[in-house]
Amino acid sequence: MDNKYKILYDDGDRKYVMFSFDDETHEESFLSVNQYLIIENGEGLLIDPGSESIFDELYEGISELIEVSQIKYIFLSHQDPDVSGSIAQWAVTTQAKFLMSGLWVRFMSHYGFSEMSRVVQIPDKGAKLTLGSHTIRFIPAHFLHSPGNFSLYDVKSKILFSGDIGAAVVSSLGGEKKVREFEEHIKALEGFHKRYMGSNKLCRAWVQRVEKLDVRKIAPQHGYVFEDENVVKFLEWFKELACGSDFLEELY
Amino acid sequence: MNFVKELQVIAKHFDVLYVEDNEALRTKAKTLLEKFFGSVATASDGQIGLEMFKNRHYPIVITDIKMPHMDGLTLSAHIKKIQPETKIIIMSAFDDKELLFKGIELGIFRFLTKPVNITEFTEVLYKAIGEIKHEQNTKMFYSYLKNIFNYQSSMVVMLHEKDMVLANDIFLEFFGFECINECKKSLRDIGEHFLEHDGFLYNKDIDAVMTLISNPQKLFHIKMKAKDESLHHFILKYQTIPEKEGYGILSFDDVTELNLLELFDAKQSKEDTKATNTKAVYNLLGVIQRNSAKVDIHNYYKGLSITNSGIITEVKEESILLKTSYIQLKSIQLEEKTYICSSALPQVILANEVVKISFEKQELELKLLSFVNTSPIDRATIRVVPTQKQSVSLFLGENKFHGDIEIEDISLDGVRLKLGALPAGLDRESEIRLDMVLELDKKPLIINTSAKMLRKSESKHSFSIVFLFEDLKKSTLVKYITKRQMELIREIKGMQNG
Repeated sequence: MDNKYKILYDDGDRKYVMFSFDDETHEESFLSVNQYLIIENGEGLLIDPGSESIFDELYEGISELIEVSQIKYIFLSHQDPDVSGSIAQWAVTTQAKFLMSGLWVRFMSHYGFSEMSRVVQIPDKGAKLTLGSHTIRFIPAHFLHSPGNFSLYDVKSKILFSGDIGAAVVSSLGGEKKVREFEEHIKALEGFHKRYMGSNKLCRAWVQRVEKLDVRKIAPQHGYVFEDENVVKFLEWFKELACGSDFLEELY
Repeated sequence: MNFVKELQVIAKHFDVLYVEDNEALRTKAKTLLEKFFGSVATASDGQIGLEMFKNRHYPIVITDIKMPHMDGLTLSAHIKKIQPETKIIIMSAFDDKELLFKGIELGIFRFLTKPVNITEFTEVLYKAIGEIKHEQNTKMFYSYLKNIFNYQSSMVVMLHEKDMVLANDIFLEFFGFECINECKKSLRDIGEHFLEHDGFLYNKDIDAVMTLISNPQKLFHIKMKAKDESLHHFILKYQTIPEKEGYGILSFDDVTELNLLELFDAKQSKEDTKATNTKAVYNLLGVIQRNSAKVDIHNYYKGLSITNSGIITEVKEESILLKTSYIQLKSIQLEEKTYICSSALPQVILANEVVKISFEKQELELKLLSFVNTSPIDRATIRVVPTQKQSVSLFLGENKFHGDIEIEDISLDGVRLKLGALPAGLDRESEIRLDMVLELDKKPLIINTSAKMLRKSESKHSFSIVFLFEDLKKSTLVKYITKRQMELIREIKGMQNG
């Protein structure tokens, strides 16, 4: 990959970096995977670092920006392997604290992780965290799709790191990784969201929380970043989305 | 719903004032209202109505708008000033938006358009009484609660979500507040008043109040400053209120007199005073046991961190009994010691002797308890014990060490070796070369690196020396350590499954 990372925001004091290392081997159904890093004063918060198979690449990519040992927090939006699969590797290479829903702490041993004292459990209703001079909020996103799931909102950059919400099935190769035409992009969103998200009621609850925040960008864990008017369009679309249990009869 | 019947039941104990200048209407309405209410008073204009209200505060007032001397809205404004809870129902022949807005501003309960439909009228009255009853209940609930709160000898606060609802007098007194409203205004986030102190709860990683709410029954230490600037040490507990979602009680136990503040902050106290503090250990464990709070029990299995919660079932003179999981008991049995952690403890407790373990009852007895300053829980790096398929050669300059040597544990930063003898001339400055062969995915993993000695310790028949790696490419070792952790997790879980 030529461009190891893309800068989402940089005001001199803080830098928000997007990596896109893929671990998919099925050429027909590429699901591009994004990892994010917030850097302030040489210290980092890593968001959804991904699976074990991309650990080496991501480690190398981060090393070009900061000392990996300076990662203070690692946020895991939920328990999936493409989000948390490398937890044991990060536990060995950093002294970071792991922020996640309490629902998944015990499951982490399946990824070879047993440092329970390094886990900070995020309460169901969310919490805030101070990183250097800025505030980060954890927004409940339960059942969208994981039962214990959070989005991360950064007050300074106004970026909402949304995990699987807003994820799109798109090719990971090249490109600027930004949604151009929302209406066109819906095709890549629809299938995934209809099947993976819990129900429209949950979508609405999440949108209601998010609408109270000043969001400039939505950065999902798969696919492209939503910017400016596409943020509004996405929220409108997601609020009206019938999904999951809304199609109960088709599923059972 | 038949409001006529319902109203007959609930309105009996209520009085009502009816203000209307039209005599025929007044008489008719009085007859109707008397079927429901305990007593019905009438007035022929706003002025008379107000005088009557001043003498007796009717919970419900029904009034016309246009009347001589004083109109219904002016009357309502006066009544609301005297007794804001009064439910005022306005009946008017005019469907005037302006009047409606004024009425809303005044907090009028309902508007009814004349001629009034009986069903609608009884429904509005029924709802007004329902609301009065609800308000009375809430008032009563809070006044009972306030009594209960003030009966407490320690500070107590009631929260709804993160916001303060009630606080007892001792709490208000502590901060020097006159009343609860003043307190609510000044103390928006009570967590901001928890001062930073090692091992204490304050707004650190996650806001303190959120931590409290998510951990009901758990004990926390906090430090707060009183109005006279003195520092107080409290043990704090959050309890949810059954059937009152979102509500909870914070209780503060002032333990300043125990002089534990210094003990918590490692920098401020000396090693020896801690060592002799065994009494404090047992006292604190007693507090934890009485509150049925959980503790974390910590062990290492070949370097793998094993942590499970436990419950102290008994605190004896020189030992404690506690219950914990099978895996934890197994690791304690292997390690022959354990570490007990809790946010209620100033430091980690090391239990250095296992008296007995019952796997059947999932219980064990521990003794030789003491606070420890450094514990493996604070380990910065993950260390694992490699498999037996390992070999290591140590070169001191050009000379190979020929004695017995094996790897005790290995991390990304260094390795602990067990040596049968001490290599001649080895010191912190020595140039060391280590050639190690481990096994990864059934293939040999070769690690060659230069190293420096960090520290050495001596036991009966061997030496244990920690070397720090100097020029190691870490990526292969990351793979080895994480794979080894996974193996160890399987190994210990395997013990549980028989």
